[in-house]
Amino acid sequence: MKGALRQALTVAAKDLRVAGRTRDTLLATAFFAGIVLLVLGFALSGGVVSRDARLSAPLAAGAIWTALALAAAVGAQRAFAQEQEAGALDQLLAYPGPHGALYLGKLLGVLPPLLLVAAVTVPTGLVLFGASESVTAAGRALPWAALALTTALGVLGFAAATTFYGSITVNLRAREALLPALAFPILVPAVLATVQATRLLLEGGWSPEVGTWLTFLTAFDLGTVILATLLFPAAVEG
Amino acid sequence: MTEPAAFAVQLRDVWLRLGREVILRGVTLDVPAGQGVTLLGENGAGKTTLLRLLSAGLRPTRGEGRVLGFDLRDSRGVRDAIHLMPVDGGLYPDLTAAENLAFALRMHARAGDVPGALRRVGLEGAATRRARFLSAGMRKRLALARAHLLARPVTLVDEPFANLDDAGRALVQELLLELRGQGCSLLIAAHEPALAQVVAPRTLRLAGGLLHEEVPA
Repeated sequence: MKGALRQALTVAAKDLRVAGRTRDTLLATAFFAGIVLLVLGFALSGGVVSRDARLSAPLAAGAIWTALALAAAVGAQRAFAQEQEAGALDQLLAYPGPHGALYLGKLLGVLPPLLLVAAVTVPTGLVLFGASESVTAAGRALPWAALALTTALGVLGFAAATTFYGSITVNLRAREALLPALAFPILVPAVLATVQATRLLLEGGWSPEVGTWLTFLTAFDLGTVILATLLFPAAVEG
Repeated sequence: MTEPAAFAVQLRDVWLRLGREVILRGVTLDVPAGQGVTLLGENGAGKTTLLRLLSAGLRPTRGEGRVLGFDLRDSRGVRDAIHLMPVDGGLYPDLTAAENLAFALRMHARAGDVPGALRRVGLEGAATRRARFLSAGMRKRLALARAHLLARPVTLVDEPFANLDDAGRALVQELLLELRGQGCSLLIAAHEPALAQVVAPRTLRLAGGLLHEEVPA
């Protein structure tokens, strides 16, 4: 167990070092999230910012999580694709120790860049779709702590599932097309929970219903990470 | 099968099919522990695939195999005993030469003399240079330094002499002989029989999915 954790941290530290040098995952995900926000901003808000939270909250929640879900898919699929592009995938899989640790390491390696992108995407989306203004107009403060928790849990859920599917599709020629097709049906619970929790937070702040959605999201995250760690050896060993 | 600890590799009627192609057709092989084996064969004969099978990267379609007594289907047991040096080195282009070696050591939960290993292959001046900025020959030396540093009981080496000048080839022979001297079993897939046989005298040829022993003339 201790050895597996050390191996996971070694892989994560290596990936973060490479990501810090190349910045390819960060740039690809940030660009993707930015484009999605911009397109949806132009298409849905039409330049008119609503001061009514009942209108702006669903719009902002939907746009932010569309951007983050797609960005997470792009970022997480790089986790194993970069190993294959470097010609190091066989070598990585040949190291001693449980293969599940490699999955955990890869997941830990993609999370910081994705969280960094989310830290910019969420406030940008709130401003772009008028959600921050409508909350302030209603005499409330934005529930930043709850939004941060929702974002962290949501990004973890998306990254956990897409990293796993990224490992299955890494050897396929059409992996970019297959990964979303395989991963997105599994991501439906996370999409529902993140969008609903964000919308409810923007409409009325913290409520028991938000708590329920976040509990559901936490269960989804835990279940996905545990299942993916257990199934990963079978996926890569064939 | 006979006493497992006495053999580095044992294969019994191993078949391997990848897609529609049959790569290995009933391969049987015994490699005593500590022995060096040169594996010859034309391009596409399946030498690299056989090394991947022995490193638990592929599972036999049929038949049985063991590496140091570990069943090939027991991936974790096999991976504890082997090191595979792939033809392209399997290095991370955006890690430095020293970081590549340190990463391999940490993955094996081992400590080692990284500067010494780089010095041994003449790369002490390139320790802080990213692998992507090393020449093909330097990358080969770096991969060799990693194999030498790890010194796994069964070391599988794919095309160790490719992209190297005469001095580099001599260095490969020297380092691989040192590994054998430490008791490591070597399986070397190569296209240069004369160079490889200095290190690994027993010679096998893979052709048409079958493995034949080559008897020296």
